[in-house]
Amino acid sequence: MRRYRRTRALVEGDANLVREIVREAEAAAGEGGIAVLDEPNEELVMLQVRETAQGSRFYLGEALMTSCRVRLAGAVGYGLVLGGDRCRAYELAVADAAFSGPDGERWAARWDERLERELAAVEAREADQARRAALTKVDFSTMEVDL
Amino acid sequence: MGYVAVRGGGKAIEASLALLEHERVRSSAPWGTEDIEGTFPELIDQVMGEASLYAPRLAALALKQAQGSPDEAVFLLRAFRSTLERPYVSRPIDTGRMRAQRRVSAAFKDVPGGQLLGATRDYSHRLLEFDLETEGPKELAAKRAAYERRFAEAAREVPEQPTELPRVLDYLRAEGLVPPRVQDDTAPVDATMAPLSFPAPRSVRLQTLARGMTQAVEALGYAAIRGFGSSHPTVGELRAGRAAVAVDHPVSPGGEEDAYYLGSVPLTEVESVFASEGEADGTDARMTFEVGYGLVMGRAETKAIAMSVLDHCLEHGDARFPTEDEEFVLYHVDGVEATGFISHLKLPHYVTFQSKLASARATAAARDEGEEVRDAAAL
Repeated sequence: MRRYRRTRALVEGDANLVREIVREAEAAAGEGGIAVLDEPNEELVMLQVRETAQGSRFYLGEALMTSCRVRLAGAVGYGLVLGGDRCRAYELAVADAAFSGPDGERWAARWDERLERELAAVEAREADQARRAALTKVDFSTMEVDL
Repeated sequence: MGYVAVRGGGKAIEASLALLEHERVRSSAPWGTEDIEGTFPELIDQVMGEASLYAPRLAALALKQAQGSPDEAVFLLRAFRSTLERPYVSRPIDTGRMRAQRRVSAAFKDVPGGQLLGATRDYSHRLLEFDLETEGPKELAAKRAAYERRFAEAAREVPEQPTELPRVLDYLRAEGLVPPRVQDDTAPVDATMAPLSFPAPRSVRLQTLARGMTQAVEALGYAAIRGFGSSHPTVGELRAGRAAVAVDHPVSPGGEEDAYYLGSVPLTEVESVFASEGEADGTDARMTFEVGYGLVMGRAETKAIAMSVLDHCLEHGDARFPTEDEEFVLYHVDGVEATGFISHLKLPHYVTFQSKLASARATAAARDEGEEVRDAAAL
């Protein structure tokens, strides 16, 4: 699973999943095995959008985010998440380092199925929201008028 | 003329701030930011949009501190924003992939994916609901459970919905009646990092309108339609929903699949169409359509429509109309600048006013003296 889908599963899915991954990573790394390079910190991300009238890009505004950077087994991992959840940023950074590092394939083999299930649950939730919105779809009928 | 520093008023200011806080705590309920976020979501959207900062919890906090004043809350959020670093710029957000919770078109009745009203007040009766006066936690919980049951059951009967909705105006694009969508990758200019200069790049115009004061953008958009502009729009499509935010790896950026997903933000997007009478020089007399674009944070859809009108106005730039004058529009829609400048007028201007007063008195004295001379000459 590539990073975008993995981070989507971890950010939008059950928060316990990334905690499980972190617990395993911490246990495998042992004491001092995870170095926090940048403590979780509130920052901003500029939201860049592409408008559809002329296809140009512009900046809509910023969003509050929290970032963290760690090193695990020689790999640097980033935890980037909207909002101010510092724990989540640390957990995402550890998971990123684990999956991006030299043992990435082993981590993928161990967790990808769970991540796919979590992503499916996220998408099922979104599909349910879409079906609820579809209840407000207008069913037009044209009035017949005798002339 | 320069400014003259004066001292004094320190104790009065201290007491004034204490009195302000006293008034807040005297009448305030112990609402947390979650209560404010949950009770006034559209006010939160307005404040975030004008502050140009997506941070619902902080917007709620700012509103609490500002005692409900949106202007003040926007000021507080903008000030807070200036204390943070901004190391990341998102990948261009693709609103076409937004999972729409609302999507309507005033141009076509039958659009693929349908007219999706979503949660809207458009067709409500606008009658005060006096039940809300006494709505307590129990009533709220009971209503919440009932609605949840109703929608969960009804949604089960609804077939799977498409994850993306096609753009309504793509039909007109396919017919060549609307300019095709091209990909212009000119790097955007950040309006918050450089003073406005004219002509402003398109990116600066759109950013300034998006973060403009809601009522100012709406008022100028309305003026443009009423006659202080040259065009009347049809809303080709209005869509609202959440869009994903992603950033590239900070050191080794790759493709979309290797980007980091950070979360999603609620957006409202409008594409308005304007009839165009062909080329002014007569080289092409075909009537086609032009598109005005609006995009705002949250559910500020009237502002998004007004923004699309002003975008079209500024593209035209007809000097006869103030709403097509980008200096007039862009300089005056910013809430912090407008409220800051207007409200500074009540602060001490003793020296400048004394100067004006002295001039007025001197003019009056000269006039009186002149009249005396004329009277003497007449005698």
